[in-house]
Amino acid sequence: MRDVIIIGAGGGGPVVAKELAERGLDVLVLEAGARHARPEQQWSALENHMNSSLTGKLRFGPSDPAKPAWFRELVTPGSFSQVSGVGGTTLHYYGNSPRAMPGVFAGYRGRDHGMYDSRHKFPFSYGEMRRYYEWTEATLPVQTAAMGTKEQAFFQAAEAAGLSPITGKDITHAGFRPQENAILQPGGNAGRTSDPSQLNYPDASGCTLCGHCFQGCMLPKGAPRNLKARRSTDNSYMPMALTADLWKPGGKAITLISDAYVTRILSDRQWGRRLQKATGVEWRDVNTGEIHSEDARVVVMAGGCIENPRLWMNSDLPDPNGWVGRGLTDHALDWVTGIFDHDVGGARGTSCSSRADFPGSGAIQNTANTPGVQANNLTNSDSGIRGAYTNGIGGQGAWDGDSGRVYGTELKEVMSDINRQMSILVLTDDDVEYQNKVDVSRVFRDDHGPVARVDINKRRRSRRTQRNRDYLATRAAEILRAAGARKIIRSDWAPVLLHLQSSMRMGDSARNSVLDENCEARAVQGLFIADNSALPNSLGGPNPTLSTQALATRTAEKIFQQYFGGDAWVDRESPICSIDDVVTQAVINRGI
Amino acid sequence: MIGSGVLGAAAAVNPGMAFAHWGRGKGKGRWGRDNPQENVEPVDWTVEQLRTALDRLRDDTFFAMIAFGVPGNDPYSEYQGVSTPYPGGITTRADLYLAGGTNLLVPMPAAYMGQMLASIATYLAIQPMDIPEMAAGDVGENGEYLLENLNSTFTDYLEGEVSNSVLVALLVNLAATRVAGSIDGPFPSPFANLGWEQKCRVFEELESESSWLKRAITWNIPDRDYREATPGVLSSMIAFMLRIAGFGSYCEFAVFNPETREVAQRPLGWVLSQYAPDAPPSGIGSDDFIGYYQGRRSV
Repeated sequence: MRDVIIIGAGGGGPVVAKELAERGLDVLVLEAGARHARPEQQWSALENHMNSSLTGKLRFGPSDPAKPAWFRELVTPGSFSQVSGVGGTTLHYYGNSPRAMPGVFAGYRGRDHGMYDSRHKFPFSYGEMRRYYEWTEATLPVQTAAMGTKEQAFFQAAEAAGLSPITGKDITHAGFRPQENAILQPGGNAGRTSDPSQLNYPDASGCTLCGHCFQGCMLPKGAPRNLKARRSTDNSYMPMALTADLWKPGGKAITLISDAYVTRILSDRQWGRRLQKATGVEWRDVNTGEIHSEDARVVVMAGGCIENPRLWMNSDLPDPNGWVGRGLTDHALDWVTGIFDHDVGGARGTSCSSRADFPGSGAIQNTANTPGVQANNLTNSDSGIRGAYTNGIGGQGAWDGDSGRVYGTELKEVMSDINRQMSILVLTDDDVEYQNKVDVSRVFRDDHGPVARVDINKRRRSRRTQRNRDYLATRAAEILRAAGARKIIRSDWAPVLLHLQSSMRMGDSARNSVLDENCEARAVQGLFIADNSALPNSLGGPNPTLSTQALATRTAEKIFQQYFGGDAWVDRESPICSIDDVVTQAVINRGI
Repeated sequence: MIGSGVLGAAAAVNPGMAFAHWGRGKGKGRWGRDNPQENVEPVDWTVEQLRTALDRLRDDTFFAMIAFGVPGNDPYSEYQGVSTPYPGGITTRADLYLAGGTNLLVPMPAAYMGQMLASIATYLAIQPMDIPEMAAGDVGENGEYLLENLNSTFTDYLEGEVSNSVLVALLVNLAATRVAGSIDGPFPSPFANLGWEQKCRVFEELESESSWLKRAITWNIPDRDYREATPGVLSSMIAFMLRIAGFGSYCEFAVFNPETREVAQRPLGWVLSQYAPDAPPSGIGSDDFIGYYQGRRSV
């Protein structure tokens, strides 16, 4: 019997794995997708090769490229942008690691307290969360992003639009700032040259400003895995978890099995504190089809906002209040693009290093884009084709003309110089709403049972969500106008299911949450959740990964205290950074 | 397998009424024999001819789709009245990308695919595609006849082996026929013979929440679970077609060398967008570093 089995090695699972491995527990991590052990020999910087959701290296699917991607049913228009494999969706994230808005936590007393999703707050205070943020930021580490051409243009425009800088990690007011990124700052030749012969480690360290975060970070070339620039969990927490015995006295390296799709959580009925007790898991070897099972004292779900509800339902676990899979949030993403007569570095430098935050409404961030992805982003819309039809929306505002997808000759014109574009991603502070849900399909099934079915209808979001989204699109357009854009286009995206949160939410009320204040399932003893689905809300708009990782750290402490008689450590110890020499040596010694 | 008969009974069928004809063609080697279309001589045809006709209709439709999204200096762009003096998506063969992607997009169970195709074909029987005479040779022997006379039983002859790309091609051409009626032109696909604005009308119909066509197709599907899933499946496929024209045209798909994991030459999309002018090889860094905002390296 294992001490702990963790299902999923994405943004959250490896955090619990590393923290508990450091405490000496026997931890098994099961990941359905691939383990990309040799990215320099397997990956490229090319969009279709890496990012195709159907055939790319970074897709939601099995490691065998000959096998089809794993399908999920969508009830309403939208598209998925998630990744399986060790690292999960952090394999293609931009490393953006802002803290949540303080207003989404219990006990918030700010003057703007009425502007948040007040019915679905964190069940503890921001002050309590802050120490877990600090621990996680030090472990990854999170660093202030470097500035390139497009960041400089964005900052100048934000100032011209009347915003002031935010100079701390806490979001204290509406303002702009460099991103706090889980990306190592450029060192040596990095950022100073495009000559590949000068960009090998250790001549170059940290971010080389290649602009390929979305294709997965394998740079600088020759760097040990834990010193790759971006701190996706395959580069940070997972190398630490796999070597915990080497860098921490009393630590125990985890066991990682990839290509292992968990199909059932095993449980005993228990008529005590909870309805059932988790006893282990059953999984299927994706390559051979063999079924395995193993018992554990604690099971941690970290398969993501879509797969967790599916696994819960396919395991016939209880759902006494009807909230399993409910309350899904997605930041109601949107896309605003400015077209310039001069070079604004639209495809150069880091993928995303500047942002502006608007407490009570959400956030916006400037991104660099490769051409296929940018064309894809410009042709996604819920508002029809600009100038031709509006699909019943086509809203007008601070941008030019109707919102909608760019198509035909306008697309070619807009795409005629990618460095003369500045694109801004809108991250809405969206409400937890019961009708936005994940359950299981009645039509589609695969080798692992009925697939997940996702229903998040953009057109039926709450008034506050829609108002926030429109407000942020307006602010984005104002910044682009201040930067000198000659044309501004609002896409009005159909849902892009990338920032997913809260489908198995924690909360202070048993009436509307799946998890208690410690992220343990209210209905199943010994079953915890440690990914975005555990978040109680959409964080007020900021990117979710850091908050998930901080919360997962807290959850690891709760597991250790409740089930293994240990003490909390975050207040009493100093974290070991994932780029510490002792970790690097451990990674090299173990050959990972 | 050889079939013979007249396809496409042009009966006035409302959504739901087509259930009465469900499955009658199975194993009988005749289509639409209950309602032979007047003045049409039965012809002998083969399943291979049917497959060829459907595949060529799909190919033609996808060429037109790519020209719609990323026009160039090709015949499809020029005929739609919106073109550019330099290449567009067709030159990158984004149509192949679109077809391949559509086929992988939704793993349709065979029974569901059969019901979906039968539903679409029911309306094609009501409002048949008109394959222009000048393009009839492009859809193979008997292809014109077969495509103009499709009815809800045609999938019986394909033994469940129908791709998603054929399904969406039929859907788009059904919508094109509804939007514009009989359409003359140089291409076999009715959609391909539309002007750019008319193509917009087609997708306006297909994207609309209140689309009559989507509702009609949905209500013509007998199985309740399949029926409930249909709006989402159709929306996914339609949105994918609209988006992938852009991605397929501007990514490296056409010139990727899997042996080197590098492009064999600069992709057309990179040329059109002035991206990475020094590539190949792909860059692994840039000299874009300016410093830190207000000199702050940490907060």
